[in-house]
Amino acid sequence: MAEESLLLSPFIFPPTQLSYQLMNQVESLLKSVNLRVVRFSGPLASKETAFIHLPEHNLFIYAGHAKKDRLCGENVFLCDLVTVADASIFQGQIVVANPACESARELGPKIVDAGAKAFLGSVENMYAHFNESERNYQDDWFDYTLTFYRSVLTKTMGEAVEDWKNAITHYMDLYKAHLDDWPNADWNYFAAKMNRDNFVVLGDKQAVVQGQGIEPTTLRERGLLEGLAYLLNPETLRKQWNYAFRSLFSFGALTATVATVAVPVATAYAIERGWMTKEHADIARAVIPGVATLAPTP
Amino acid sequence: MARLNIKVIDSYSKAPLPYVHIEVDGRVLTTGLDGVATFDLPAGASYIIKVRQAAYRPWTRTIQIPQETTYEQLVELEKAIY
Repeated sequence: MAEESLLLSPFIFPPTQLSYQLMNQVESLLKSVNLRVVRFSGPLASKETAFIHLPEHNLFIYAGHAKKDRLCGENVFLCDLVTVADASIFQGQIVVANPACESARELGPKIVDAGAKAFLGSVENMYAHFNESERNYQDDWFDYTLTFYRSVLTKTMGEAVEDWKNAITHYMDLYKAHLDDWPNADWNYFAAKMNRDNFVVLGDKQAVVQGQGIEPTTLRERGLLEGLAYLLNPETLRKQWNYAFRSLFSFGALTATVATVAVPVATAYAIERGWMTKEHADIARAVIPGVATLAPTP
Repeated sequence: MARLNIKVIDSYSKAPLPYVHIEVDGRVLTTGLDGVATFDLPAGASYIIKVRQAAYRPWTRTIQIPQETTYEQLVELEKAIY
């Protein structure tokens, strides 16, 4: 299995705009330790894109809305990015859902039972912090969450969760000391406590994320080599063919719509204005749908 | 006395939020099913309003109540949980 990470970060439904920003920093962190990152954000954080890439990765990171038995992805109404029925696709992987609500209640245990190395998530709601007038609590949240992700990449999963809890405790102490003079310290203390006390590691607490084990190269060399390797990979070529096929289908559907709706309307208008004869219009009506039928279909 | 009607809604769906705790000058009320809580306050003073619902970003503001009349305050709460 390639040593890669798959990072999914929805950004439309509040407060995922904040976790999206947070994941920008997590992505940089992953790259800084030579882990290759495939990232999907917003509407691309979907079941389709995730499952194409999932088998190639050994670290799966999700930051977004979730329920006890599923990770939602961008579509919080459908909420089907990963469900308990998909648990077996994470075999041998480390799965991190932070921030994500309640994912360690039912989904996490199922994923670990189905063969994942470890699952890190919360059994309760997870909270964002915000920038308020008296203090930028959001920066604190970024700091303690990045502390966690740094530890995920360099320590065992059990140690990473301990580091997460210690980092949060530091801020909880700070908020507690300012309950009287920071108007929103009360809520932020509560939110931090919820994040700290309900976050668990399921499965192997000694599991570690494996680095690429390659000699560091310059960023330019590495980017070029990775780009070439990715482009010439048979799996990539297969996927590119699929994408091209789907694009052609989309084009075909568009052409058919034009042929069945736009062409008759346009030719009728042109005949009425005297721009073309009825014979020319008949030819156009016959030829353009004919061209549309030549477009690829699935 | 002045009357302060505070209406709390979800910033995304715009739906009224019931059972939200609102603290004004040390007194705590809970919004009804319509998302509204009403305080009767002495006029000619400023008050700190704290609106708290665990799943939403905290809302804290200071408002002036200069006259004995009815004031309307709309509070749009932003989701804070994932």
